[in-house]
Amino acid sequence: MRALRIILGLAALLAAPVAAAQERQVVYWPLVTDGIEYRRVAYPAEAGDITVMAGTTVMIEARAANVSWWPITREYLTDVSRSAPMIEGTLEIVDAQGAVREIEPTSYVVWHPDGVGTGPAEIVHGPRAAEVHAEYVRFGRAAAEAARLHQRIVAEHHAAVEAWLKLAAQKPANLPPPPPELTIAEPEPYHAFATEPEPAAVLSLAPGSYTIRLRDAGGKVVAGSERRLVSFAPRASAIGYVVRPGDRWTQPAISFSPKETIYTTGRSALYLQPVPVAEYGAQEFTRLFQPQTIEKLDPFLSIWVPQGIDLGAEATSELTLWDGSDPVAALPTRGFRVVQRPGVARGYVIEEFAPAPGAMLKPDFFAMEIPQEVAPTSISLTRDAELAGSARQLRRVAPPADHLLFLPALLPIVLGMVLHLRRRITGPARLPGPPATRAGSA
Amino acid sequence: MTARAPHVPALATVATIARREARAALSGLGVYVATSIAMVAATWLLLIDVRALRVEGLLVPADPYRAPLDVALLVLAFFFAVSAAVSTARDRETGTLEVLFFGPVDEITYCLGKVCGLLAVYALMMPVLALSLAALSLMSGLALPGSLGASLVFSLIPAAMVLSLGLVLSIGTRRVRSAVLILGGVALILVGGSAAYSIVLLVPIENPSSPVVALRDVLATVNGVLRWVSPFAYLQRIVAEGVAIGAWRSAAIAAGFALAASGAMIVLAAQWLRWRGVQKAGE
Repeated sequence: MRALRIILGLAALLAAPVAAAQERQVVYWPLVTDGIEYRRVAYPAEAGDITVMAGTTVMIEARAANVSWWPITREYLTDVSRSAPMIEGTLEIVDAQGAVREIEPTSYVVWHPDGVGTGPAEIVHGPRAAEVHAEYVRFGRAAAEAARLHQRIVAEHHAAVEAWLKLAAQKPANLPPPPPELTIAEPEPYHAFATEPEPAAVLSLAPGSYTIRLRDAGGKVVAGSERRLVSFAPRASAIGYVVRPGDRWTQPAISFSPKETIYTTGRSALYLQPVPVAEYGAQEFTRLFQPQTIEKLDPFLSIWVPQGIDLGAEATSELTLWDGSDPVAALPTRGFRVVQRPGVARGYVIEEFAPAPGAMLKPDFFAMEIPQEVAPTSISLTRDAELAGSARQLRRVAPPADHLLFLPALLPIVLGMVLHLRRRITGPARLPGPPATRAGSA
Repeated sequence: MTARAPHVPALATVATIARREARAALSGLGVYVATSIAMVAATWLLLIDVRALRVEGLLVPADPYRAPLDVALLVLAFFFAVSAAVSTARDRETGTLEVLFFGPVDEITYCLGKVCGLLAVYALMMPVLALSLAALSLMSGLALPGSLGASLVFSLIPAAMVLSLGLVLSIGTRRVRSAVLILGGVALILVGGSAAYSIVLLVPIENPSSPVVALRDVLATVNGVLRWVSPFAYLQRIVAEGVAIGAWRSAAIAAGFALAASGAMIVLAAQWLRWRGVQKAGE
């Protein structure tokens, strides 16, 4: 007991959080992407190697900022909100072979053509960055002005209608006709967004390890700016699926890894939306947005990540249904709408929907439908040939009642009792007795 | 004073003790009941996915048997640790230990024989467990993972470590009851430490001066130590967090440490037995 108290006391001392002292240092603050979204990730010196995804456009800038230990999340936090000026200089990149490349800061914007959070973002850098931003401001202001004008017209119309209704309530002798119905269409909202142009070193790297540092205007290396940078590439690519059951279409299941099996009870149709996916090393991918994670993942572990490309209506591939090794059907991509059932019955039906040209109504989603009565054993995506990594086992199961599933647990006891009874029937094994003495031996 | 017997090949002696131990374990119903209990625990965990499939109508599990297999092997390994402890304590209690050492048995052959015998029974239970899991897979419809065979084979390494722990803890005890209580207490500390850390991680922390931060950091250190010391943690590291998910590097490192630790514990048990002597309890 005394020993245990000593051990716990020592453990508390070892684990005691370091006093939250601030330290001013060179902090890299790159804008990196996982293929879907861009995020700023702070890299104080304690965060280790800078991690970026190979082939993606990355913006690297460095700031002189205060860094302090935050015990709640067990990481070193950087204060970039106040008095953290950007460190001016040229970014120097040295690859594994020793080749040196210099990158001057250039202006860039993050351009979201479909709006933030919908669709992938683009990086526009160089002289075009200012043009894109100016265009965004121009279109944005025009859309805001159009919306404001429309709102004013609608408000005026509402006021006119109310005035006419008040007048009508008085039942005058000569009631003028009511204001005509408003037929002006609401202007299209402007969803696109562009960030303010900012300077940074914009680059895209091949897979590998690099050393980066900053050189100031005088050609000297900025103290504390040398860091290691790791650029990682995908290990493999495949096709994943978002699977929507017909009776729970808002709760899809996801299958990104080709090794996964899709289990279904077959009580409704299935709607499959193929998604391009890529396999990355789990440790590298986790460090991309969380460089100070305390998780240490095995280098053999990998993670499958969607590539953010929506195949939508343009998909030209077909979903092949297999029964064993025989193809039974090939399903194209179709549009579907979810139609609410009227009345107290509630619920909804999913109907195929092909919009007429120019129609305002659009499908709610595009997918390949596996009808309820069809029970393939596997599926794959084909476009002339089967697409790599698109095959999936599809198992239709009907699990029995919970208590019946405990029956296999009785197998070991049954085996033991059978052996035990057999031993009792045949008797205990007899050890061989002493050898018989030969007649005449001494 | 231990009587020294005439020289007999040590391996043959180890094999004899191992055979004796295995026969004693297999002739009783205990090992089969333990395997059934392990299967009950596995089925109970698998029911989570089965019920989810029934309710949702659709399920894409990464590996539905990962947690059930982990728990089943943990239950089985603990049973064998208790068997090792009980067997050794009973040998002392009944005077068998003293009699054995009048024969060609010394401390290291005795300890090795004990561990090898029970490990052989554990290995024999693996096909029984696999058969039960196959039946469960057939009934539930959830397919067994391709790594099942490798997981069961590799589980022998942490199982040897768990057995060695049971042996070490029972060498110094006089009675069977004491051996079981000590083993239960140690297992509770080893498993409870990790469980406490997992629970503390769920507690929300409002500010850095919260006492939960200090407690969490202490338990993180304890958990970090336990991951390198506890045989039960090695079972999880080698099987559930290693072979089952393809983390071969982590599994190989953990397996190496577990083998070394098993050897060290067997040597420690032998040394302790030499120091303690083989007299019957009370003499």
